[in-house]
Amino acid sequence: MKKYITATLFIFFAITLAVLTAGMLSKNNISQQLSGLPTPDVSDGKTVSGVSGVTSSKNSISLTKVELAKHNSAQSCWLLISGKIYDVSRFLNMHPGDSSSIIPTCGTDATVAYDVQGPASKAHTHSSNATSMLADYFIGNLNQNISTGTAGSSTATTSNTSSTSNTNPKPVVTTPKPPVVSTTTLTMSELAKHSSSQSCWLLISGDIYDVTSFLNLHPGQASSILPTCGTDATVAYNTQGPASGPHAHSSNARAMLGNYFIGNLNQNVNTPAPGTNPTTSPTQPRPRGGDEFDD
Amino acid sequence: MFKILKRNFGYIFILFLAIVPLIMWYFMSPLGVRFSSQSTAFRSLGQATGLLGMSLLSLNFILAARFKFMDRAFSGLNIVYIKHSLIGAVSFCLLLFHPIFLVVQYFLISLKSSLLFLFSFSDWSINYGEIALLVFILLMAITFYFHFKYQNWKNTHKFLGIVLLLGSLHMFLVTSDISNNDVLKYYMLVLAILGGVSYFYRTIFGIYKKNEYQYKLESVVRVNDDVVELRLLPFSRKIKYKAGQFVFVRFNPTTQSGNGVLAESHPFSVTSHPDDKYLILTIKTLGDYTSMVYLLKPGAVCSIEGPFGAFSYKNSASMKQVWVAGGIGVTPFLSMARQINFDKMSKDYQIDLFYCIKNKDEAVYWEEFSEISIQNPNFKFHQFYSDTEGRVSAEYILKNLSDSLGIEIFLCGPAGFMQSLRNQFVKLGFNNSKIYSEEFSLSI
Repeated sequence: MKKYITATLFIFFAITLAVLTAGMLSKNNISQQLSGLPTPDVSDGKTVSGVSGVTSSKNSISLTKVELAKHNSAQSCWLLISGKIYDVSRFLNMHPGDSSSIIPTCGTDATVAYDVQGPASKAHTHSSNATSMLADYFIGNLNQNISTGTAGSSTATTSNTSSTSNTNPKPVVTTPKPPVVSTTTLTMSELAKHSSSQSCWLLISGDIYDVTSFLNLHPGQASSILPTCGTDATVAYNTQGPASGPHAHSSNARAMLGNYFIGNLNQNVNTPAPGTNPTTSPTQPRPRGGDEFDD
Repeated sequence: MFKILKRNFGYIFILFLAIVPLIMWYFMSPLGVRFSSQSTAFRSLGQATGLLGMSLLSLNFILAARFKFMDRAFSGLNIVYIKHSLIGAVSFCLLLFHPIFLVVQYFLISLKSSLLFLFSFSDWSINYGEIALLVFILLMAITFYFHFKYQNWKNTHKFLGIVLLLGSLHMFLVTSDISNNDVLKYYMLVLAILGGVSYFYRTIFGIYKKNEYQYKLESVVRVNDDVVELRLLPFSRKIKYKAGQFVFVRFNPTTQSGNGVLAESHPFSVTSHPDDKYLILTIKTLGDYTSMVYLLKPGAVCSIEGPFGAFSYKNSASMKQVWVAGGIGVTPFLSMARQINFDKMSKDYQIDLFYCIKNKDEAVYWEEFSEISIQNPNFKFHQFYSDTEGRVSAEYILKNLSDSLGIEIFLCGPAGFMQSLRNQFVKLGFNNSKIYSEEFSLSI
């Protein structure tokens, strides 16, 4: 038996070291990913192509919602998640939660599904690993022009080269489409207006989040958030984590919170016309680059 | 066939319990889907190895708990430990392959995702598994590569509880078929809890157990240079055992001669017969532990747990038996011979004892065996010296029997010695189920 154990241990360490070495060799990309920037960020409107912004435009397609909707099957499945489009056709069979849980959302805005339909055992969210894996399937932002390698091919050749063109996080939130907007300053008094379950804003560590749509998804019940709506919830957030854990919210929770970010305190933001909920808007961009996945 | 099933009932039952989760997993999704592409195939292999590895690991804790019923189900506690060692090794290999397969699966997505899978440490459900595996690797390296002293090894082995705990946490928190299927989840939970309870039974509650017998050391008798005999008298309750069984002994550390080493529980062969007023334990002083017994002084108090083992002439249907002892493997036969000589009911047993040793110097108790063979015409004593006659063979044994019809064979000695003789007897047409052997190698 000792022989088999030795052989198995050898294989185990060989593979672990091989992955580590290979990772080190290509560390430009990967160490960056490991240190907390799992999603490549592409500035709005920038053309993503195999090489650079300049491209031969002969097979260029625009990633509109109409285009998205064409890829709604297991053969070609595109997902819109937080303003970014991913071609996950190749991934369907590898999905730990089974391909059947993705297929219904193919060709649609899957932001909410992605954020709330994570592994049942873990706070209902996808892990940062999942998010960084998703980046492998990134094609482009909504309403962006991309060039495809061969016409009609759903596996665009565009994804990762853009990760090096990381832009600085933008302080001001803009939406890619010109919607009907008004400007609001995120003051404390503005914050205080949103103190109900109909509209619940939280101030956490100087950042303001609109968690209205999240209330019912909260693992610790909506009732534990409601009292802090419209107030500075920093302390509550940092100490009232899951009782089984170390009484703080997990990095998954923080990553999820990033999806509800509106802006910093005392910052001017463009808000969509009243009545539409900004967090569920399909075109709501990820406001602060990839750093909401900071672990 | 039925007899083999019955004798290995415990082992077969444990393997069955371990395979049940794999069967459930098999029916959860068709194999065609599980192995539809390279990466799904690796994922499925990763799941299957993880599942089987964890169920074997959980069950192995039950095997290690030294439960009384195990002794019966496995036809001897020594067999339980042999299977424990084997199952542990298999489970270890499977659990090592579990992340290997998954890494390959992630590697097929991208190098980056495989690197993130192994080294991102951001997902605690995965971290639990990684820590558990690292501890497991360390403890198995100690078990298989570093030859620690028995009691030190035993102390490190206790940390396997951490592996079970973290491994189980990983198993229930990570997204997988376990978290997706309630039946599988509860089945694995029950196995893990049974393992955990066994662990606590052995490591923590074991200390306060009442079903131990308190004995006092009466004398330490040197039989020859390597072999020593401990004669013990009970304080109140006397242990009931069959000739040929063994017990676990642990010396009370508070008595003058019980020091730290001997305070660890250790197996000993019983060589007295069940009606003897003494409980006599005979050991060959080779290991670190066993040479410490010379330091024991009369009056030392010890706790006896047992008896264990199913190696007894009374368990055989035939009254015609051949006993073959290799070296110190003679000890259970000594107890049995004393019993036959003492007990009038056992006089009808026809016994041929072959005592195989290198030379006369190594022989112990041969005067006593000769004496018994004189007093009891049905008991024949043969000595075999391998220095002058070479290795003992089944043919040699049969040649020296007056009648080999209907005999049953008892083997006790080094593992290679027993295996070789068993093979030879089977080759000569003996039924394997009529050959009993006592594999006595409780420490690896």
